Formats: sequence, structure tokens, C-alpha cells
Amino acid sequence: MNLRALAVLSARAWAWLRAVSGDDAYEAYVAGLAPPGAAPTRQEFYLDRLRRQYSRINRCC
Amino acid sequence: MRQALTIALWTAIALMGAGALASIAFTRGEPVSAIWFVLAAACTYLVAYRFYSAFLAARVLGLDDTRATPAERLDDGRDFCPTSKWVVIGHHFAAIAGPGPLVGPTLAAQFGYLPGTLWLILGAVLGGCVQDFVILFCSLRRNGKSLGQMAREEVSRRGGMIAIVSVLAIMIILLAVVALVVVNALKESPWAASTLFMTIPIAMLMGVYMRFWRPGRVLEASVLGFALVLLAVVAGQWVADAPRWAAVFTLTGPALAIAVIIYGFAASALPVWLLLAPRDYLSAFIKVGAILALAGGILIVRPAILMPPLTRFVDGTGPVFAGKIFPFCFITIACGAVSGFHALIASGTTPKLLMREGHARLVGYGAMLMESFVGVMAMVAACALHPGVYFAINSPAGIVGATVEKAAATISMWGYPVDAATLEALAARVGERTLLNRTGGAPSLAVGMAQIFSGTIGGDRLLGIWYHFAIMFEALFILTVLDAGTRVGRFMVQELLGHVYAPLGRTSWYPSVLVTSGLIVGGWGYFLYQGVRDPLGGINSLWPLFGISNQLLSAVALVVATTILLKMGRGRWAWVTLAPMAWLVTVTMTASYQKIFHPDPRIGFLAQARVLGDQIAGGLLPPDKVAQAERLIFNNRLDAAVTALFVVLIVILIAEALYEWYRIISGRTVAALQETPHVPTQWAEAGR
Repeated sequence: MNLRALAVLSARAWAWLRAVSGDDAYEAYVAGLAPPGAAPTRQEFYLDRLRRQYSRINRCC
Repeated sequence: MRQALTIALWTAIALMGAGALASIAFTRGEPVSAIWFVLAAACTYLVAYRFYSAFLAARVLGLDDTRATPAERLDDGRDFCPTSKWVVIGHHFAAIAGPGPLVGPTLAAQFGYLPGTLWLILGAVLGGCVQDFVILFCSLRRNGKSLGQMAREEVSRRGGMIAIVSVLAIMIILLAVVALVVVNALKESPWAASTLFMTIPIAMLMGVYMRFWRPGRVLEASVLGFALVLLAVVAGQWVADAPRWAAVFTLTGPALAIAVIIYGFAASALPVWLLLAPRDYLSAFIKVGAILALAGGILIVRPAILMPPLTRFVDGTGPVFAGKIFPFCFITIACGAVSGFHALIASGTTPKLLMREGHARLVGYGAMLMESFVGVMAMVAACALHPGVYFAINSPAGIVGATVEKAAATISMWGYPVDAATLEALAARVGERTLLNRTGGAPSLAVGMAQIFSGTIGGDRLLGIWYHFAIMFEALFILTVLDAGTRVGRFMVQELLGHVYAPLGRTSWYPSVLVTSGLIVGGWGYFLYQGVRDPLGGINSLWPLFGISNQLLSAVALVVATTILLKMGRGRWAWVTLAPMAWLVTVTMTASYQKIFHPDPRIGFLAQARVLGDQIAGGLLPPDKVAQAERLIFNNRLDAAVTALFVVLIVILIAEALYEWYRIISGRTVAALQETPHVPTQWAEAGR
């Protein structure tokens, strides 16, 4: 495996980790939001996300 | 040529899996290598995924990638959010894999390695994966509706009510039993208790970091938290070695139970960003990391399985829990084989994220295969222990005795030779005063994991660190289930009470928050405290209750799935859900009947109440034990009543479903399917 392929693989793994953990949720939300400029702050978005996530069953036995 | 190679490849995988299964099933009188377990499981999963899940997707469900999913049609970037299938499977697996697939197989190892392993593998591919996949598909076709909503709309109003009551009941029992596992793992262990205690301020620090300093930076906070938790594991040894601090953190079962109850109440009532969410992030990372490390460790160390394939306790006289292999093996292992609770996740967040219907196969069927593999690894870790050591750790004092000498003599008499010096030396090597009577499964699993980890890194020198890392890992994500479960239970109670008095339904009204948190914590706290005070260890009565309630919920899910298949006109394929449902109903009903009416007081709740009543009436108990006996009588009758409630619920649901199926099949009713209409996807051309 050459360095370029390794770099691509690492970037993909990092992107996957960010997506799975929710680390990139704000950027993804802002990028998909229309019209631009209507986005909440990062902190507001984070708190709203937590409120939604933990008001329903999200962990199993 | 290519087709011939493909056929040859899959034939080879199938033969290898069959060979590995035969090896673990028929080897007698010598230890089996853990590699055979890994091979048997992996080959079976590959074949099942390639062929059975493809059959389910194409013939039974008719997955349609031209149909827009709820994530596409209702995309709001928050609840409905189109997400890559590889990310969704990560979310889904993290959500479904809790302590169940680790603890259940560890407890079921008392029957030997064979029954539990076969049930884990075959139960998953034919039951658990099917349930998760079909329910995910059904919810996907209904805008991500919950299991309760689907039961109400597709089966009957009562079916929906049964689903809701089942969820609440299972949650109370589940939270009590996982809390009991934590208490039994931490009691009298200053190292373990202090390590876990330190995770609370660590989680709060992470919460403040993600709330104020770096909002939403989950990875940064998790790396920081993970480093601090590792430090806490090491610092726990310093605490245990300092007499003054060791005394502070050497806690009895009842004291720990009260601490856990207070913690559960606080976690439910405090803002979610402060404690619950950061702990969840932390535990999710450690959970996935520890599971991967365990898989790697098993492949590197290749431990020998010392437990025999079948033990003498298949006859129902087991010390870990009483009851014969049927039905209790299948009740003890729920998560890892078939778990009704998964249906709540599969009809919760997951269907709102899928970009295509076809992805439901990987996420629904595939994630459950991964959980089953976690269960097989737990079975390997437990069965790699010397059987004598396994029984010494997992048996209550009431059965094997409270001293190592007595326990060693009793267990050796059963045919699993072990001596007191071995037990004492092992406890010293892992940094514990004793490992005797540590019921609940977590400590023996931790010893098994520590042996595998130390065989990979550090050797015997790091056994104590690895043991306490494993205990911390188990306790951390059990407490996460406790936090999240209590909070969701609180919301459910608030929703119910809101119909009685509207302000109680407001989730932000603090008096309501306190009252409903108290109700939920009081519910599981009662069962927890009862378990801690139970001379048989509590797990004996609580774990079967949990298994029964979980399998009941699975029966509910499979009833809903079968009804929907019939309404879709796929009656000829209804056996895919009907067969596991029939099995689960048989298991649940048999186990419930035995737990209530069995004449053996170790199995039957009423028999135990009767024996205790007779002892009081006959004046056989010393005066100071009478009050305890009266409390046990009440608890046994309560457990019997809860079990009876489960039976009544399942009988009503099945009667309702059978009537509905009869009307559909006989043409007396038009099968009204509540699917959302077909809307073509806009992404087909884009290749998303």
C-alpha cells in the first residue's frame, strides 16, 4: 500500500469516526441547511441534539 | 468460471463452519481451542448473511431501492437525516450492544459451553437478526414509527398497549438487574469502587468541556475522558493500597445499592449535557474498543476452553441459577441471540437515518450478527476459566459457603476440583481481597478478559490492571444504560401522568421531573435492594425475570412482523417470523410457569415463599431472621405476580393476533396495510 492510498484510507476512517460519534453533526447540519445564515450556534445545536437523543430509547440491554 | 469459483468459495466457508461446529460439539475429554468458536461463529454468520438475509431482503420483504426512505422524504437534518450505511451500522451497533450479551452467556456457561454457544449462533441467525431486520423494514415503511405505534395500527389497540406496558416493565426489571450486576462487581472492592467513582467527575468535566469550552467536540472530549479513565484505573490501585482510603471505598452490597439509587436519580434529574451524555460518549468508545481488543486477544492468545461442553447442572441444580437447560438457557441468554429490546432501537432512531431500503439488510441483520459475536466472545472468556474458579466466583454464599475452604470443598465435590490456595492466589493476582461469591457474571467475565488481555500485553504483572479495566468497562456502560433507561422511563411516566394532570406531562417542569424520576428509580431501586439482600444472590430471581420480559417483548415484535407480512400478501413466507415467535412463546410460557409454580424453592417463587412461611410457622427461624423471611416471602410473591402479568400480556396479544390473522387469511377483513405510499427516490441517478 503506497502513502497516498494510506492517506486516503486514514481520511476515510477519520471521517467515519467523526460521523459515528456525532463530532461532525454541526458542520453536516449547516452544510445541508437552506437558506444559509439561519443556522443555530454550535452550542445551541449541540444542546438541542442531546435533548432529542436522550428523550427516546437509544441504548439497549 | 467466476460463478464456479464463487460456488467453491461459499462451499468451502460452509464446510469450514460445519467442521468447526462439529469440533466444538463432539470433542470430549480434552480442552477445545477458542479458535474453533471464532471459526464456527464467523462462517455461520457469513453464510447466513450471504444467503438467508438476501432471501429475506428479496423474497420476503421485497426491499425496494427505488423507493424514497423517510430520511430522504422528511430530511430535517436533525431527527431525519440521510446517513451512510456504514455510519448507521456503527450507531445501531453501539445502541443495541449493552451488557446483556456479555453477562447472559457468562451466566449460562454453568450448563457448559455447548448449549449457550449454539443458541447464540443459531438463535441470532434464525431469530434475533430476522426480528431486527424485519422490524427495521416495517418501521422504514412507516416513517420510522415505534414498535408500540405499529402494534396498535397493525394488530390492535390492545396490542399497542401491551407493547407500551411491556416496555415499561422490561425497563424496570432491566435496570434493577444491571444495577445488581454493578453492585456485585464493586462490593468489598476499593480498587473497583474508587475507579468507578472517579468516572463521575471525569464525565462531568467532559460535559462542561463540550457544553461551554468546545461545544459539541465529542472526539476531543472523549480522548480526554479516556486518558483520565485509564489514569483512574491505575489510581484505583493506590487507593486500595492506602488503608485510610481503602476503608472509605470498601462498601457493602446494601451501601452500594443505595449509592447507585442516588446516582440514578441524579443522572435522571440533572441536565443531560452534564453527566448522562458525556458518560454515554465515554462508555461507547470504551465499549467498542474493549470488544475489539477482546476479539484481537482471543485470536492472539487462542485460549483453551476448560469448561466441559455440558456440565452436570443441565439437570437444573446449578449454583449460578436454578432451572433446567430448557427453558432457562434460552431465557438467560436473550441479548446476543434474540432480544426484544432491539426492536425498540430498530423502530426508533435507525429507520430515520437510512438512505436506501437495501441498507436495512446490513444494518438490521448485520449489526445483530456482530452482537451475537460479542456474546460468543463472552462465552469464550468465561469458559476459558478453570470451571472450579468459575463456580467459586459465580455461586452465592448460601450454596457454596462463605469461606474459600468451604467453597473449594463443595465445588470439588461437584467434580470441578479447585483448592482454597488457588482461589486466594487468583484474588491476590487481580488485586482483590476475595473473588468468592461475586455473583452477577461481571467479575468472572473480568477475570476471563484479564487473562486474555494479559496474555497479549503485560503478562501476569498487569493482570490486576486488566481485571480492573474490565470491571470499569462493564460498570461504566452498565451505568450508562441505567442513566439513559431511567431518563427515558421518566419521560414515559410523564407522558402517562400528563393524561391525569397536564403539568406532570411537561418534561421541563421540575416538580414533575423530580416526582417521575423518583417513581422510576423507586421501581428499579426496590428490585435492586431486594436482590442485594437476597441470600441466593438476587441474580437467581432477577435475571430470569429480565430474560422472560425481554423475550416477551421479542414475541410482541415478531407478532407485529408476522401480521405485517400477512397483510403484505407474503403469507407463504410468514414462517420466517412465525417460527422464532413460536419458539420464544414456548420458552417464555414454560419459564414463567416454572418460575411461579415449580415445587423446587430455588426455582419456583411460590414454593420458596411457602417454605419460608412454614419455617416461620414452625418456629424454625431465630427471632432476628423472621423479619427478613417475611420480607423474602413478600418479594417472592411480588416476583410471581410480575411473571404472571407477563404471561397474561402475551396470552392476550397472541389471542388478538390469531384472531386478526384468521380474519385476514379467511378474507373476512380487507388487509389494511398502514404503509406510507411509494414515492420514487431522487437519488437513484446520483448513485447515492
